[in-house]
Amino acid sequence: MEKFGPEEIFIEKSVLNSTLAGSVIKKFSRAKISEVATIKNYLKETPAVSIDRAKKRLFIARKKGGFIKPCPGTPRYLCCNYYILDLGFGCFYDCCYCYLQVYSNFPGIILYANLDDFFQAVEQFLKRNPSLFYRLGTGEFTDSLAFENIYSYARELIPFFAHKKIMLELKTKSDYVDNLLDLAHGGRSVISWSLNPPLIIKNEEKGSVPLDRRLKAARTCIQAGYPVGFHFDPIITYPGWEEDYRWTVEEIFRYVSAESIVWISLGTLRFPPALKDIIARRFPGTKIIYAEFITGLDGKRRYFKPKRIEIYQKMVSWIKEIAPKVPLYLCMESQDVWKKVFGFSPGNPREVERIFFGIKD
Amino acid sequence: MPTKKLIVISPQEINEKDKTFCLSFPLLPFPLAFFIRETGFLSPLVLRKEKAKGYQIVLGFKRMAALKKTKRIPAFVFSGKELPNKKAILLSFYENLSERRFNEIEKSIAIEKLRSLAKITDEKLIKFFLPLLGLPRNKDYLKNYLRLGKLEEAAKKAVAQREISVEVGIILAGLCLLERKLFFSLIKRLRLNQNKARIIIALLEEIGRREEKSIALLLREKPVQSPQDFPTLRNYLLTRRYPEFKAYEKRFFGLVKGLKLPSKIKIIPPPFFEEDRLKVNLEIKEHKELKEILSYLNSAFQKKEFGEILSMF
Repeated sequence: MEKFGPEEIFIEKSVLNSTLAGSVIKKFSRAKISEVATIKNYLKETPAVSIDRAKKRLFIARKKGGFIKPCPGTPRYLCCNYYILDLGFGCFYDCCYCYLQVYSNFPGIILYANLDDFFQAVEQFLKRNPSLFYRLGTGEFTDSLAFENIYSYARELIPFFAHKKIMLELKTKSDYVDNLLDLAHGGRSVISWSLNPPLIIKNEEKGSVPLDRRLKAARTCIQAGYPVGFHFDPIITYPGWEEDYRWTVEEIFRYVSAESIVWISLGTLRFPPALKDIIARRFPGTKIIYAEFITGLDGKRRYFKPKRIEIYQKMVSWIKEIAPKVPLYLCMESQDVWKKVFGFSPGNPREVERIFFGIKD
Repeated sequence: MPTKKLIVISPQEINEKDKTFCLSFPLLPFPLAFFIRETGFLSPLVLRKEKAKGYQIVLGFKRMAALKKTKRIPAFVFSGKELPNKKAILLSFYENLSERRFNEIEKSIAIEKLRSLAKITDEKLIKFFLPLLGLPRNKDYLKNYLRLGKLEEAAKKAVAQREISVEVGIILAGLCLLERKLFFSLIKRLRLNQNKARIIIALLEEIGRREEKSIALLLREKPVQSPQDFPTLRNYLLTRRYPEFKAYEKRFFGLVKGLKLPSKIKIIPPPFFEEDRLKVNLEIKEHKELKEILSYLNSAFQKKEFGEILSMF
């Protein structure tokens, strides 16, 4: 499902008159639309639904707090000092490895309608932290651009951040960038794509946009002056992975120039143990969960460390061969893995952040 | 049940092969001859007369098995109209339940027959009948006990007679016919309990997924067939499931062995080699021993093996 088409829509009473709700009602007139007092109350009264059904339900809600939060990272591995702007939860793409599947109380896709409260929260956040430069993203619990055909969060967010001392990252597996092209972004918004070889996109990232369209969209954004980023996360091994990932790395630079890339992150497949059974049940054809995983220091299942080091070293060498100056970082990895891959290790999350392009405090 | 007159009937007239209402497994004859001689009493069978099927036994399968050679058997006989399937199976169920404890296979048979003959809903089975059988009110129990019915006679007997646990029976029932037969013989040969059977089957399943082989095919392989105990088989399967990790572990312990340390010194890798430091355990009783150990360690640290060990982290 490349485009979102909810079958059931639930709108909280308090945001019934919001622009988002209006747009959704207009766009999906055939869906069953219900008004609910609050999602919380609704969930108390109704039984849980399957993930497949949840992906066809949309909740429009008011976020009451926790607009900005530090990326939860993972215990005992190095984080990158990232902040999350929590604009929604859930996604209609069906990536087999998606960790959101472990949330058993996930009732459907939630989009928040009170954007003004988010903006206020950002202003307050900046007041509290005036001296530092932050990175903030909306793509942690949802896809930043996948819902652009319903309502353009990007058209609200990008101009707002254009003059802020904060870097907004919109991370996606889509190619909905048309809404972004005429915006005054001030170089403060990074549009980034999760990347994987076509075989993984086809088999494990159901409903998402193919690689060439993601890269074409990146090129379009660069032409509109946006900095772009890429995330090889999760990197998934399988027989022939080296050839496919190397090809994918080369493919990036066939579409975009190295100078426009502000960062490329690398992270190997990892998941909480509970996700394994869910993946096995929901995606019986997948083999990705039967690789050699060990239990990491955070309790998550990860590839065996020497394997991860080998993966990162290869990926880094392929990228550096073409683009030696592109900033690279590892997502949720230990310091010794950093050392073995890059020859150095940041001492703390703030130091990880310094790796990125011209961040000036 | 309507009041019925007692009649006597020849055993030849009874359709002994019809087990529609039988809840006993295995059907072992009761030592009735002895019982009758001692007490002079025999409770009558309950039969149902069906045109196509003759006299069906509703109650008294064991008595019938014991009294085959007698000339006359006392019985109450009902017509199909008087005793429809639902009533008949419920009569059999409650009668058996009041007299004895069901074994795990009999519980499975009872649940299946209550479902198919009495058309009792799953909800009612869970809420009302599972507790009567001493099982928790849980849909997984319903599913698992229904699944036990798939087992072959030999496996059913093993479960009923507690040679293998009901949990192992449930694991077996989740496999296909060929896998079941092969795994059943492995379970019997290695005397696998529930946990061990679960470990082996999980490893086989994952190896099968990785290597695109069926569990049956794996179970037929010589390295899977030949181990004479659980640890050997588990180790073989672990090495096959985690080849890189096991090779790394082997290399590590090979290098440690090369240090030729006494048993009082143990070099322990971090779990799964995930951390970047290892532990050294020392065992001492007195000062002199510590000196001796330190001297061993000192010479071990000079060896190339130790450098290689450290480079593994």
